Amino acid sequence: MATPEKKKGAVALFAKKILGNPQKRAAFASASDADKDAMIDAALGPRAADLPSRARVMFKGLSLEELNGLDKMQTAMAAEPDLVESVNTNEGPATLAKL
Amino acid sequence: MAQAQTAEAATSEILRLKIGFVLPALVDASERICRHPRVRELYPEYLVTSHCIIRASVPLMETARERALERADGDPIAAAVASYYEHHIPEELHHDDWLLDDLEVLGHDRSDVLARIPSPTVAELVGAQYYWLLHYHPVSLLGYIAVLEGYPPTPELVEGLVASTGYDRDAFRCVAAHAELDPGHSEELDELLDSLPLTPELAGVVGLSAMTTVELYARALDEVVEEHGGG
Repeated sequence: MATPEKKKGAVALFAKKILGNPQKRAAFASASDADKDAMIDAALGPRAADLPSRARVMFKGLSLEELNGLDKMQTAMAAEPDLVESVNTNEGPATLAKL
Repeated sequence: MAQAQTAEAATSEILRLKIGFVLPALVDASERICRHPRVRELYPEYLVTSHCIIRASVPLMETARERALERADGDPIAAAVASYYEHHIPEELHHDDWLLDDLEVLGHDRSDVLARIPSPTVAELVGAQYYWLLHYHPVSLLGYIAVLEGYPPTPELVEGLVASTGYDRDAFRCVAAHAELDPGHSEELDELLDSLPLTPELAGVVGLSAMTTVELYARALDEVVEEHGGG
């Protein structure tokens, strides 16, 4: 099982290799499910196995507009494994945001 | 059209993953206020910015409900979100007044607060939501709500603010109320999301709405520090 650091590194590598490249972003968004897996595997190489499965599912489901938005926010992305893997709304970190 | 929800993850789970990926920006911005050495000066300004945002919550949901009702015939997702907004609007009524009450405790006159011009960032944050719900689909507002109700202040954060600012506890009623109320609201939203047969496009606009909300809310909080933190 990948360590948190390895998971974080795999997410960061996806951000650098696919999110950070406009052509690859567009190709990724329009690719089939199988082709998206192949693109991730090619971009991450042996570190593809470190990418958390839920993060892979999330990335594959992103629209081009969402991928563009994520690229814009790359500097803010911490890619913390515990966040990437968090699924429980009520266990998320606290903020000062309110509706 | 194909459905975005996969056998591997529910719609709400995927949305929380998307939000979780960018949320550190908002967490960090929140902490910059809470841990600032001049938090006593920043807290009233944070309340003013919050008021500018929160006073738009009910009008946003009312507009989304009306737009959804217009599309409800032949659009089951619009029909479902119209019902959700209808149910949720009363739960959010007058929260903006709570903020004005808290500001009054701190000596800020309500009319002075209401006279202040909201920042371009606040207008962008709220305005983007009006655009998407009016000109794309009213389901988009769920992304905004998912962020603003999904990661509320904790009781510990509220206690920390009371201690660090030195203000009377009565000036924290709005923040404290959201710490108590929002977790339940967030669960209702996740149940709704998981019941909707969202297309990839609609799941995408909800995700984009959420990510944009994180980015702009964080910027609005950072502007409080930049403009009132004393350099």
